[in-house]
Amino acid sequence: MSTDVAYEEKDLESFSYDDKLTKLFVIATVIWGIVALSLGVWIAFELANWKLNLDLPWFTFGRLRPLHTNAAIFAFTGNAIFAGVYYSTQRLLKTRMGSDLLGRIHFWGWQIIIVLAAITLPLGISSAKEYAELEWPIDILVAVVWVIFGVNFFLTIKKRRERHIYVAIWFYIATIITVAVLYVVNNLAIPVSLMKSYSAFAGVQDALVQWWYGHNAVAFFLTTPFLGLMYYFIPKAINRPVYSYRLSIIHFWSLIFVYIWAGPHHLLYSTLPEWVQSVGMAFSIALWAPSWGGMINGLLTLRGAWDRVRKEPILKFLATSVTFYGMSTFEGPLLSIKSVNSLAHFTDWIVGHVHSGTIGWNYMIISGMLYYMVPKLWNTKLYSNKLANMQFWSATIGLVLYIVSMWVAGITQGLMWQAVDETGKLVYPNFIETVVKIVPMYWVRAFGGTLVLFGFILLVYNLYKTIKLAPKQEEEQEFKALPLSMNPLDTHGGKHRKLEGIPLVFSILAFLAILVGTVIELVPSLVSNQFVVKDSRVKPYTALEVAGRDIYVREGCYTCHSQMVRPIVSEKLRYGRVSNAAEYVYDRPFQWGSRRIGPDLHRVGKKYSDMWHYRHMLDPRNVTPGSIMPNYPWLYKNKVKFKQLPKKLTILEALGAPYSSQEIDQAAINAMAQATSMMTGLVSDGVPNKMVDKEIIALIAYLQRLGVDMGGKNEVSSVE
Amino acid sequence: MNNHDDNQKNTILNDAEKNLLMDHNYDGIEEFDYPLPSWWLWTFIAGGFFAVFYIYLYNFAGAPSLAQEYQKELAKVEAKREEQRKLTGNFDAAAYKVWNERPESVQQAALVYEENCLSCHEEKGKGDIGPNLTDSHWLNLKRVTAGDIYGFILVGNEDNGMPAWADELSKEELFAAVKYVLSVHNTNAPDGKEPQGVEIK
Ligand code: HEC
Ligand code: HEC
Repeated sequence: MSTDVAYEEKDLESFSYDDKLTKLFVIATVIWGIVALSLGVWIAFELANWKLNLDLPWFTFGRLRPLHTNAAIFAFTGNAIFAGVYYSTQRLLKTRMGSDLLGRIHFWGWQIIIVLAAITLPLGISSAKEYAELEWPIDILVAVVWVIFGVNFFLTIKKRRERHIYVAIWFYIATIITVAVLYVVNNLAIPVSLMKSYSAFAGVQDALVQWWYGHNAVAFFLTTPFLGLMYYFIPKAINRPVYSYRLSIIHFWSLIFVYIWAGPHHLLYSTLPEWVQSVGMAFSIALWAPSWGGMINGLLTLRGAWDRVRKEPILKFLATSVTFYGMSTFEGPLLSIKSVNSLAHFTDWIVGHVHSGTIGWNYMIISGMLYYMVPKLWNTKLYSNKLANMQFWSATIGLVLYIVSMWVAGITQGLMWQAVDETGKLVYPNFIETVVKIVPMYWVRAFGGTLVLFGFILLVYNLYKTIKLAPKQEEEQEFKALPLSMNPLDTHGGKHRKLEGIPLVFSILAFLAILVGTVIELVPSLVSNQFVVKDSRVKPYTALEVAGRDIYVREGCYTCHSQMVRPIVSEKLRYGRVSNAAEYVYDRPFQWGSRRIGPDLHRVGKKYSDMWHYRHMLDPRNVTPGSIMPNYPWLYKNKVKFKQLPKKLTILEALGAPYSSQEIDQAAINAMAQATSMMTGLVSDGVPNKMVDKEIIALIAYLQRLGVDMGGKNEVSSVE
Repeated sequence: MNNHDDNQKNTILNDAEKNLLMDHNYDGIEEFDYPLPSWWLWTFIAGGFFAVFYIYLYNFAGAPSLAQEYQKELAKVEAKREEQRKLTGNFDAAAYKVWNERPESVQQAALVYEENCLSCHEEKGKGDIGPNLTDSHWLNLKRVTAGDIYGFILVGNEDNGMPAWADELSKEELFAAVKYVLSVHNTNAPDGKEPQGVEIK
């Protein structure tokens, strides 16, 4: 714009960029990248060979899987987002970031959060909501640090020297606002102690909020910021103008407006009110085109320079990432179609889908971005193009193995679960058959993951060498630009152009865009009990069962087990009566799960004897040869913390569970009494009496209570 | 290397492109204003219409709910199972005899036992979670005949942890289970679980 305005040399302001901060985030990205990917590879091998759980509590799949997902999302991609955002925002707005100090607080605050996560999650300190497992004190820290990031970002916008904000900045704005809203609402909880809380929502409502969050964590943490980064790094790296400005506008607004509605596609066939399911599914289909708008704008910007894409590693990574973005945003709507979903949900197909997004899109674009930024930041050239190419092939082959093995595993297992023969019986009534069948695919997946990790190690080595060989840094470079006041609003560019010059209004509109779907979908089900019909037969858990449930939550059983029998005939045959919303009203947090590595547990209550569970939890292969479930020997040593029970029941009562004051005061005594009565049966089967106060007894009490309140598992279906 | 370059030269392919170039420049990034690809635009519009139509169909126009679809499917499968129950419900002694004389019945018996019963009754019926099947003591039987065992396995004793198998096993599989139980009966496994119930001679 500056060309139209007559100016003199003295009008120019000089400034520099805070690239030291970007460098810190770059370093954090590669370190946490290694950690997150290694964890993923490790747990992949745990599924292929259960012995790798090592009989150690902090090593089991149930505790490491949340650490892997949190590390991949918040530590690896989180730091990458910040690196890219700090780098590009300053350049796109021609200014230094709002405050160097806030930037430092953001950086160190975020690393402290990650370290705390890395300590607490393996210890089993978890609120057991996917990608939101961190306990409340860390949640508060996340919210505070995020707000600091936001403040710093908006201060930067305020002191910009570029009148109009570029499309990358639009996406950053949407990210910052929406993530704050999502994170705070989903983590609302009442603390019991420093390391334990109960969700403010229960059952169906908790599930609705969680998947509004969970889906939009994908949308606004793994997608929108990266679209912003794409809009910066692709044109910079290829030196071509962005393909279509009007496409940017349409796909930006439609994407953020539509995305927020799509969460319920994670809960199709669940007990979520059906109107919410249908809205979620409809919007998921409508999301396809807005997503592809981003892909088209990225790929067509590369048009006319494909020969360079073939040669230059940076462009290869960027082009591949956008391609995988396109693939996974096509697969997503496909998986939201009810009939496809009934087959694919709870299987590895979903796991493959997630990784074609996280590895195909995020890992690839991060790699391209790092190869672009590091030489520029350290004022040098990349150490080795060859190594970068090797990473590209290693990661791509690994990813393809990952995706294909998960398709095969998912579809195979899904079909086996649903197969009913002409006599009306399940063809594979033993769940374990369907597990053993796909274990070979788990080996392929683990191998694919290893290649992806190996590629990243090459990247780290390459960048390390690059930085090592870089010349000593001079002073920060000075730049000059006209102040904002001499940069008038573009008045002939149309309404949207004007809007780009008024970021405050822009931000408010973006906020409203995400608020519409949020309010319409969430509020009716949260404020009105009309959608969750109560049933007087459903009673709150006893004190011992509460203790057992907290163990279930701590061990992350939900990473392998669902608690939701869907209204699908094969599920009725396999598990028993279809689940009902009323059965979950005391579940804080809800534990419906998203993957059935093991069978659904909602009707496991009274299915087996206490002794069966006692044997099974000690070593599942005792009763189910071929099982891949970990051993839980520590549950037979740890004592139940009876003393905490009155406090726990007090809080659950405050949240709506009708405990009498007697039940609360006597919680510890009642729990002990229930455990003692359970011992009679177990002792006759040879269990020593001293086990009475051990965690295993509480866990069995909980398992035996699951899904029994509204009648046995074969009672007539209550879905009318 | 310059980190901030408004003057970076973007590659422009031809004159037609030049006309589509806007006067936007951010850190050297320029923008074209190519029209929306029409196939994309149509997908976009179709997606919106689909969403509206779908929501209308399932919430206002009476398309079947999940529960209704489920009940319909269930009725179909239940009918088949009812047929089947008629076949398995009563012990058909003659059919058992014929099946029992087939040479592969031994193998079939072992297989059905391994897949369904082993986890509770252990190797060769020596007993674990379920009682020892190799002694002469019984909790649930009055007489040790193929018919009585068949009848018990059909309904089980779910309160005490023995599943009902009527809906899980086919008629032949039930025969196989019976055969296996009879084959280990009175073998008195040396490391078997201590006897439970009443002795039946
Ligand atoms: C790595 C995945 C994994 C984890 C983690 C896991 N399980 Fe399992 N679970 C399985 C598999 C696979 C099976 C099926 C084979 C078997 O019976 O062991 C199973 C079976 C079960 C069953 C028997 C269900 C039935 O109907 O037969 C119960 C009960 C169970 N698990 C409880 C738990 C509990 C409680 C936890 C947490 C402490 C847990 N599981 C953690 C994989 C897992
Ligand atoms: C989940 C564990 C479990 C499985 C699987 C199981 N059983 Fe049992 N079974 C038991 C228990 C427990 C009892 C004792 C019930 C009682 O106390 O009355 C029992 C009892 C029996 C009895 C009667 C024993 C007596 O003393 O009255 C027979 C016969 C029997 N089972 C056969 C089978 C056969 C055949 C299969 C496989 C098709 C099988 N069981 C599978 C747990 C099981």
